[in-house]
Amino acid sequence: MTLREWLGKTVIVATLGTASFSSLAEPSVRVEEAWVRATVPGQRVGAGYLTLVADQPLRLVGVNTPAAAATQIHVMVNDNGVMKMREVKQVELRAGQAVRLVPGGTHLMLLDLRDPLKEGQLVRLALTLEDGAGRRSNLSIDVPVRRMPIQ
Amino acid sequence: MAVLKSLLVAAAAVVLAACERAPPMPVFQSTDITAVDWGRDFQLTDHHGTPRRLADFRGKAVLLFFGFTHCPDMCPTALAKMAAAVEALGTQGERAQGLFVTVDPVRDTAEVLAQYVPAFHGSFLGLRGDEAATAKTAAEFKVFYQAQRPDAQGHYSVDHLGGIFAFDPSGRLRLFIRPEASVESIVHDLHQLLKQ
Repeated sequence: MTLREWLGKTVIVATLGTASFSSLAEPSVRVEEAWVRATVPGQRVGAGYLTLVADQPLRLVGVNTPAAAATQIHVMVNDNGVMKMREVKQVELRAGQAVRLVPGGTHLMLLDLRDPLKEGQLVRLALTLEDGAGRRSNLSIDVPVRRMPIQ
Repeated sequence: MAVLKSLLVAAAAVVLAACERAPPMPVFQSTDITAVDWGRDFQLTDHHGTPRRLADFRGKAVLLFFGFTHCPDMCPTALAKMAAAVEALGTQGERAQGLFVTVDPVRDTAEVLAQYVPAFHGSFLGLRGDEAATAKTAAEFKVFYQAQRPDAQGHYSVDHLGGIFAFDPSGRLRLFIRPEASVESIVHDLHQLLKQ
């Protein structure tokens, strides 16, 4: 079973309400395959994954969740076998191109979890997106907590 | 001539006998590192507070992974794979031992490890040492690790070598299993190691 099959067709399409007064069409973002990984006792950090497709150039510049004290965007670098996680301040979304945050790659890092993340729960993620003119908008989604499929 | 012929036959018989006696060369799916002269032992403390060395696990195939609990993605995946592989061995799984060595002993106390590690598999043990013992163990296994500078909230990550080391039941380091290895390949190699 691929991750895609396992996640099914969870698609959230949201038109972002911006406080803009321009005549440009409001940006729309499609969120697919969003999930947060179940944690085990003793684990103070969690990981979230999702695929974003924007209809115009945008940047993901922030994520918040009530489940964690702070949320960062981390890229994973495999430097000759040494795994390095590094925070990035933004992820570029090109028009119509899917950007995938997946296990082993770029992911959301949930820091200082308030409680362990249990399978079956829903976690609210508030995404902050910014367009080319620096206008920001927010998108809130409820994503399921699931166990990592191990193969 | 007849003498030479019988000698050759005898020699061939000896060779054949030797072949029959020697166990078949195992074919592993992971990288065979049997020849290396490092990764021979460690002296650490398990999450129950018991001092542990590699020899404590003689008779078992050992899977050893270096990681830290504030690692949300790669470390839980590696431990879950190790657990799934041991589960897949069925009753033979009692002859396999998963070990998690923390490269972050400051945050990964025995209490944290006692919650975290057995959550993946009840038989797995978390191992830790002080900073010197951690550094010594990592050096013995040629495992690079480096804590990053904490951010304003004190959060930090630890760069470290991914992958799992596997030992045969005699305690000899045999394999390096890459992080992306499938559970199936780990199960295959554990079967091979348990035949040793």
